[in-house]
Amino acid sequence: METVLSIQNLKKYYGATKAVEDISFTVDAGEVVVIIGPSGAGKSTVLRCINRMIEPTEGSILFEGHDMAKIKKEKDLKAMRRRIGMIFQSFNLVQRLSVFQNVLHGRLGYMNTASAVMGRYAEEDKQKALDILAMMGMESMIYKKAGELSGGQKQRVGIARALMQNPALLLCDEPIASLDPSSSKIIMNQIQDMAKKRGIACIVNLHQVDVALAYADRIIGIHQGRKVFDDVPEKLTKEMIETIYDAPIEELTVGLEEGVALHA
Amino acid sequence: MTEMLGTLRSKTAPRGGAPQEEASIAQPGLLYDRKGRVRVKDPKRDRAIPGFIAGFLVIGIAAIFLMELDFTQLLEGVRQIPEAVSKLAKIDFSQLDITFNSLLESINVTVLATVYSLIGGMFLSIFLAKNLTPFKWISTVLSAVLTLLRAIPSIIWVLLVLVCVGFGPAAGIIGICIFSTSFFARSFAQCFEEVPEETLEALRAMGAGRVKIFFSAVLPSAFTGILAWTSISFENNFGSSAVLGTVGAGGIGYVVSNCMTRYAYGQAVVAIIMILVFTYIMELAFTSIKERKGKSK
Ligand SMILES: Nc1ncnc2c1ncn2[C@@H]1O[C@H](COP(=O)(O)OP(=O)(O)OP(=O)(O)O)[C@@H](O)[C@H]1O
Ligand SMILES: [Mg+2]
Repeated sequence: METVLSIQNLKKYYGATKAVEDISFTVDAGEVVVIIGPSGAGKSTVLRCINRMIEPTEGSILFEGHDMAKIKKEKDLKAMRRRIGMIFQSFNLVQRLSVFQNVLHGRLGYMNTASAVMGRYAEEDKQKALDILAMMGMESMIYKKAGELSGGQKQRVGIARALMQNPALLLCDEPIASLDPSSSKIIMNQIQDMAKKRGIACIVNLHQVDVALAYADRIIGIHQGRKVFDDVPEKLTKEMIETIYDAPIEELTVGLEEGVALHA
Repeated sequence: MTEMLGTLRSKTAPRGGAPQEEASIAQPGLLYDRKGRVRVKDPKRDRAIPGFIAGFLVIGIAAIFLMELDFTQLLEGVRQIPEAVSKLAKIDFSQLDITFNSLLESINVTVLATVYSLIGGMFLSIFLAKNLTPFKWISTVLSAVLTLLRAIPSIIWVLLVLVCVGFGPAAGIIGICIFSTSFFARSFAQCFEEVPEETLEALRAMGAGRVKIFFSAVLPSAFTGILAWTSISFENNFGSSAVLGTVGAGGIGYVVSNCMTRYAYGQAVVAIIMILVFTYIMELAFTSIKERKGKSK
């Protein structure tokens, strides 16, 4: 598989706080890479450095032949960001707009400013949005206001919006942290689907090790800004989990051992 | 100390009537009022409101003495109310056409002033809102300037403008605009700042620029707020434009003040009623728009 993203020696310092300290990894097309690590380990920081929502202190972020970290011009950065979808824990939709409008927002980066201001989307974009919504089982809610949806439905709109961008890379920052188990499953299945069917490289930050084990092609463990694990889920041992989370396994997620036992 | 108070209070706790007996056992860490009921907030941590009311009372009482209000004159005035009412009650429709025309002039001034200042205020608010402004210092400078403009009421602005452009509705429009633009800028910026940062972040992350983000996310999210502030501002502006006549900028206010100086109270009343009716109709219209918007939300 071709490499979509290659991060080398990424560092992010906030004054004396070393949020990310020398992290390197690559992600291939169609691959689901799950990043796990305790709160404050630097998972979100890594993810946001990739699309430069956070300015990295040092390192290179090679994406589709360009070093994201070196892009200077606003215009070039915007052009690169169009190819990177992002999915958020709090969904980040425009509550007052319809599902349809929110999904079409995924095209904003590609449109000229005048049509964007007038909200004039191309008919083929509309058709594409409808297809994606239908695929997600949301066709009956296209005119509903995003604010009226349940959490799971909102996240599906979030994914649909990201897909409208035609992304080569999908960044998901705790996409299921505010969802119940059954919605979580739907969302994770859909992310996995996107990766496999459309060859999108996906990076997913997760708090649940069991979910990571179930969906990841590869797991990256981060501890205090450093990468301490980078391998297939089968290689993730109990000891490794304890190192990543810096706590004995009994204190970690409920039901965790079951999941580990399954794969170990 | 608290423990001691607690036990003290448990003794004075109600016995007979109160059905819940467990309340009489004081728990440490909980606060109780004089009747032994559990307090839900600590009065010591919430001093702002009582302090505010107390301060207000003190200033209010001081003001009565400082102003040396003449209460006998006040009483005299109250005694004359029936007479004044009977004068006003002689409603006189003889100048209805002039009155109506000047009402239209006032409405014109209001509408134009509101539309111009809405556009101006919207433009300025983009630079004023902390989450939209391209440079933080612009927001700070603008905020100071607009606050100054707002500190002076519309009617004073109209007086100042009258000096420059002379008598007529133009002075009214410009004067009201100065105040109203500043008011719109401030209140719209407030609405924009309330749009969650996460929403803007999502669009920024997909490569949308400022203008696109403003029109696709900020404006739709702030729409209800914008509508509410527009209706408030329209009413204020109509109020200002109605008073304008008294300082010589035409409109229905001129009719009222002119009638009063001619002791034509009956005609003045007609004008006043017209103002009331129009204000009320506007109020109803805006309320119904807002409600319809609320339903479709
Ligand atoms: N704007 C900031 N200024 C200063 N320090 C920051 C800032 N943002 C993040 N940090 C610090 O960087 C470190 C990494 O934060 P990050 O949000 O990446 O953690 P995380 O792994 O995503 O945690 P969580 O699982 O709780 O979301 C933390 O120690 C945090 O305090
Ligand atoms: Mg995080």
